[in-house]
Amino acid sequence: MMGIVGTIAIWTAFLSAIVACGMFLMKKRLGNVFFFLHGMAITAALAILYYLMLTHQYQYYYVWTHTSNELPLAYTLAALWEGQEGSFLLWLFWQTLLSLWLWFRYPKERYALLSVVLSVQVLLTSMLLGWEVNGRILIAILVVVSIFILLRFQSQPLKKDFFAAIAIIAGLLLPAFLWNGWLQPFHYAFLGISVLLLAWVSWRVYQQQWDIVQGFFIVLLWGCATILGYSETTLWKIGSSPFVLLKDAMPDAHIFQKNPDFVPVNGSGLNPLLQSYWMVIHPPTLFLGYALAVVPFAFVVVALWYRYSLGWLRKGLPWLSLAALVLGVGIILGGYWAYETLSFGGYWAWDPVENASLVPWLIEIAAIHAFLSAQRKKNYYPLFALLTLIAFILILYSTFLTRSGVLGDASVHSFTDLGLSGQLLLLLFAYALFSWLLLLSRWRWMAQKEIPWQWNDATTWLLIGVLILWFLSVEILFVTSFPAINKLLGTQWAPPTQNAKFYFQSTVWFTIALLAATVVAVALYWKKQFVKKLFYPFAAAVLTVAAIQLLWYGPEHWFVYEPQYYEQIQSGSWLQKLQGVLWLFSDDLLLLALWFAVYGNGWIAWHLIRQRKWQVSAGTIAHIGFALMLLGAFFSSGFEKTVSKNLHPQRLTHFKGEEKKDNVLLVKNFPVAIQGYKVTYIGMQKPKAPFKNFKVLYSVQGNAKVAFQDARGDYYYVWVPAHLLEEEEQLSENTRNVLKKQKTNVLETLKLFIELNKDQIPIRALNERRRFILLFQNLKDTTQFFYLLPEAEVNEQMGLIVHPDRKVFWDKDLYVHISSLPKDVQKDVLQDTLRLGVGDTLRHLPYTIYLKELVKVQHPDYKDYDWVIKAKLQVWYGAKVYDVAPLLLIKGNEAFQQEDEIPELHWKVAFMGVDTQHNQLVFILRRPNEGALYVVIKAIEKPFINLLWLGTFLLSAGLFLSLWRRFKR
Amino acid sequence: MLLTNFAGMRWWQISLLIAAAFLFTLFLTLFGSAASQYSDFKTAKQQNKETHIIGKWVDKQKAFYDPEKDQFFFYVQDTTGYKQLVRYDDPKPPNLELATKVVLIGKYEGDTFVASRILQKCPSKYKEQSTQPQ
Repeated sequence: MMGIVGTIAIWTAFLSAIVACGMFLMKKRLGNVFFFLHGMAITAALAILYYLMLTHQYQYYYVWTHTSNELPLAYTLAALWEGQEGSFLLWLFWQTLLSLWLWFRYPKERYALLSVVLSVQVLLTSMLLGWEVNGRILIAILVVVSIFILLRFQSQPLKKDFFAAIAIIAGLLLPAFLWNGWLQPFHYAFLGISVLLLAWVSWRVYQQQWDIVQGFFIVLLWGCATILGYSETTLWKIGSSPFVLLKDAMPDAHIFQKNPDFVPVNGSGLNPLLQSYWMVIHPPTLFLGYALAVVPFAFVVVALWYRYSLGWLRKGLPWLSLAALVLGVGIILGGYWAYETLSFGGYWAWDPVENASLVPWLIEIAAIHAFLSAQRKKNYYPLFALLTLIAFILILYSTFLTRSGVLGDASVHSFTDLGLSGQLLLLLFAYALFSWLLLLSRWRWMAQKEIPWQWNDATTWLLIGVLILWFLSVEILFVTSFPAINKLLGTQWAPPTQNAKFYFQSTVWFTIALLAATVVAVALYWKKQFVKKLFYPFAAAVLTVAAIQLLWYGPEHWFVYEPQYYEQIQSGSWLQKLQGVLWLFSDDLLLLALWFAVYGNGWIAWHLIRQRKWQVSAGTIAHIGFALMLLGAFFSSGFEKTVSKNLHPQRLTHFKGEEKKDNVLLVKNFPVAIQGYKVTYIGMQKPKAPFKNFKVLYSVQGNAKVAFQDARGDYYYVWVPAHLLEEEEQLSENTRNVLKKQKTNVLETLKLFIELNKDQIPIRALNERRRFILLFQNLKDTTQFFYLLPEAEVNEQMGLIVHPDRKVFWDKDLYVHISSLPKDVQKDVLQDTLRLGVGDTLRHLPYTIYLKELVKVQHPDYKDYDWVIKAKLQVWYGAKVYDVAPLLLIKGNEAFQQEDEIPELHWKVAFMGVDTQHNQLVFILRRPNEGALYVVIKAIEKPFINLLWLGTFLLSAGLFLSLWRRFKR
Repeated sequence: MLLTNFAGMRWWQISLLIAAAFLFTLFLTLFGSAASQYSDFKTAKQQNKETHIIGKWVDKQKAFYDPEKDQFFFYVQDTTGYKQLVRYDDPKPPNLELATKVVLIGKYEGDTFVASRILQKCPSKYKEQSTQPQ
C-alpha cells in the first residue's frame, strides 16, 4: 500500500518537475505551485522509503536487500544510500533543499536559476521511475516534442537554412524507416556523419546563425534516430524504483512459486564492510557536494544565457566555494573512513570511484582560481565559465562511471549495475552538449582583447596553477576511464598496477610547480614587493629540508634518492636513463616545494593578519592546508615502517634477498618482541555483564535470535529456544508477532537465562566481528603500556574482513590489524585428527604434542579384551607439560576407545587406531573453542600522519573562510 | 633573452607547453617503465627474473598458511595448464577465494615460485550476493 503511494510520489515529482521547469523557462508564476509540489513529492518519497525500512517491510525488494532486523537504527538510516535508488533519492532531496534556498534567496533570478536546477531534477527523478516502455514510443515522443519546439520557437532561421531542414526531415523520417540493427553495417559511416553533424551544428551556433535550443534539438533528433537504429531491445527500462515488491523483483525464486504471499522474516542486511558510523556521514556529505555543484552551474548557465556580466556572477562564487568545501570534506571523510576502519592502512587508493569524485573537486578549485583571475582581467571570464560547466559535467560523468557498471571489476566500490547506463549516458551527453553549445554561442560575446602575459602579474601565476590543476584532472580522468574506454573502443589498456607509484611519478613535477605557484601568486596578488622577499621562506625551506635530511635519514644518506633510479641512470636504456634523471631528486624537490609553500603562504598570511586583513587570508590558509596535507601523505606513506617483523629463525636462514616479513604470530599469553614494543595477545574480548536492552529480532524453527547490549554498549546476540519467549503457549509465527509480544516479564526471563548461561551458550557480536585484545608494552620500559583492540570477521562470502585499531602519538600512528586467524575461529567445539608415530612431535598451534610411548596394559579391569594399549602423550604449552593417556581396547576384530582428558585445558583425547599405510597412530582431539588461540598481526608505524589531518582541516577552514566572507557581502 | 621571449606568450602557448610536459611524463610513466612481460611458469623458470604470470588458484584444499613463518603456499595453474607450487610471504590475501583470476608477480627460488605480489581479479566486493529470500 505504502509502496503504491511511494510510486505515485515519484511520478508526481517527475511530472511536476517537467511542468515547473517549463513554466519557469517561460517565467510563469504558476510554475511555483509545481515547484513546491515537486519538493513535497520528493520529500514524501524519501519519507515513505524510510518508513518501509524502519518498519522492516521485507515484501519490498529495496528494504529486503539493504536492511535486516539486526541492524541498529543508525545503520538502518544509512542503509538507504547503500543502493542506487536510495542514493539518487538522497541526491534529489539535497537538491530540493538547495533549490528552496535559491528560491528564497534570489527572488529576482529565481525562475532562471531554478529552471536549470529543475531540468537536472527531471533527469535524476527519471532514474527512479521503474517504467518499462517501448523504446520506439519513447523516441516518437522525443521526436514530436523536439520538432514542436523547433517549429514553435525557432522557425524563422530554419527556413533560411537548407541543411537544417534536411537534418530535421532526416530526424523525422529515419525512425519511420529504421528497424533494429539496421544501422549496424554502417557503423563507421554513421559515427562519421554524427561527428560531422555535431561539428556543423557547433559552427552554426558559434556564428550565431542558430541559437542553442535549435542546435540542441537538431542533435537530439539525430541522436534519437541513431539510437533507434542501433537498439536491439524494444522494451526499455526507464529508471529503477525503490518501491518494487520482492516478488516482482525475483519472480523466479522458488519460495514465490510455492507461496506468492510470502514475506521474509529477515532481510539480507547491510554489507558488513559498510556497517560503520562513517557510512552514516560520508555518503550524505558527498552527495551534498554533488548536489551543490548544480548551483554554480546554474549561475554560469544563466549568466551566459542572459549575457550577465561578471559582477552578477560574483553572487555564484560562494556557491562554488561551498560546493568545493562540501565535496572536499566528503572525500576526506571517505579517506578517513578507509584509513580508520576499512582497508589495509591506506586513506587513498586511487580507486576509480575515488578519482571520479576527486577530479570534479580539482576542477572546482581551478574554477575558483579562474574567477580570481577574471576579477582582475576580464579575459579570464570564459575560462571560469568553462571550468564551472565542466565541474558539473564531471559530477555527472563520475555518476556514470560508478553507477553504470562500466568499471566492472576495476573498482572495489562501485554500485551494482541496474541497467541504467543508457539513461546515465543521456544525462551526461545532454548537459555536455548543452554546455558546449552555450559556450560556443557566447564565445564572441565573452571574448576580450587578449593581454600578453606578464610574469610579475598575479593572474599569470594563478593561471599557471589553474592549467596545472586542469591537466592533472585530465590525466587522472584519462587513466581512470581506461575501463570505460576499453568498453567503448574494444581496446585492452590495462590500468597501472601500482597506482600510488604511477600517480606519484606522473604528477610529482607538476605538484612541485603548483606549490611554487601558490606562493608566487599569493605574493603578487597582495603586494608586488612581497616577491622580492620570497628568498627568505625559500631559504627557510632549504634549511628545513637539510635538517630533515640530517636528523631523519642520518648523515649517510645525503639525498632521498631512490637507488633504483640511480641504477637506471648508470645502466639502462635511454628511456630508463631519462626516467632516472626525472625522478632521482623529485622527492627532495617535492619536500622543498612543500616547505616553501608552507613558509611562503604562512609568511604572507601573517602579514595579512597583522594588517587586520585576516578575512582575506583564506587563500593562504587553504594553501598551507594543502601543503601540510601533502607533507603528511609524503611522510606517512614514504617513511611508513612495518614494526612487526617476522623473526622466525628458519625464515631468516632459509630465504635470501629482500623479502616481506611483515606479519608476526602471537600465541595467546606469550609476549613477543617487535620493533620498539612487547606485544601480548590476551584473548578475545567477551561481553561484559550486566546486559541490557534486550530485543527479540525474529524466530526461526523454534529458536529466537535475541540481541542485547553489554556494559560497554557493544551489541551482541544469542540464539535461545523460542519457548523461553512463550507466554501463552503460543509460538510466535514470525518476527512481527514476536516483536509485538515483547513484554517486560518475557524479557526478564530472557535476561536471566542469558546471564546464567553466558559461559555455555555462544554469544556473538551482532555484526559478527570479533575483537582481539593486544597488550603493547614499551620495550625499554614495560610499565608503559596500552591496549589495542583490532577487530576481524571471518565472512563466508568475503573471507577475512579486518578492522584495524591504532594508537595515536603526536608524531606518528601505530596502526595494527589482524592479518590471519585460525580457520576454526567460528566453531564452538573443535575436533582435530592427529597422526603421529612413536617418538614424534607434532606442532599443533599453539601446542606441541609428543607421543612418548605405547604401553601394553594388563589389568584385571580389562580381562575381557585381547589387547589393551595405552598411548602416553605429552602436551607442551609454553612452560607447562600435561600428560594424557587414552586407551585402545581390542577384542577380536573390533576396537574400542577409552578417552582420557586434560582437565586444565578441557581436552578430550581418544586413541582411534593405527594407520598401517603410513605407519602412524591416529588420535582424535576434542576441545572447546576458546576463541582464537593465536592471531597473526601486522603493525605499521605511520610517521606524521597527523599533518595530513591537520592539512585537510586547514584546507577546509580556508575554503570556509572565503565563502563566509563572500556570502556575507 | 629567453625570459623576454616568454613574456610575450599567449595563454594558449603556455597551455600547449604544459600539456606537452604532461604528455611527456605520462608517456614515460605509462610505457617507459621496464614492465616485465606476462609469461608462464616454464619461461619464468628459464629466464630467472621477475615476471607476471596469469593463472588461477587450483587444488584449494592443498593450500596452507604457516603462521609461524608467515608464509602461504598454494598451487597456481597458468594459462598453459602448468601447475606450480607458489610461496607468498604474507597471509592468504583476504578474498582469494573469490578471485576468478590471479596475476603473480615474482620469480623462482629453486623449485618454488615466490610471489612478491598477487593481483586479484575479483568480482566487486560491494556487489550483492545472490542470496535467496527465506
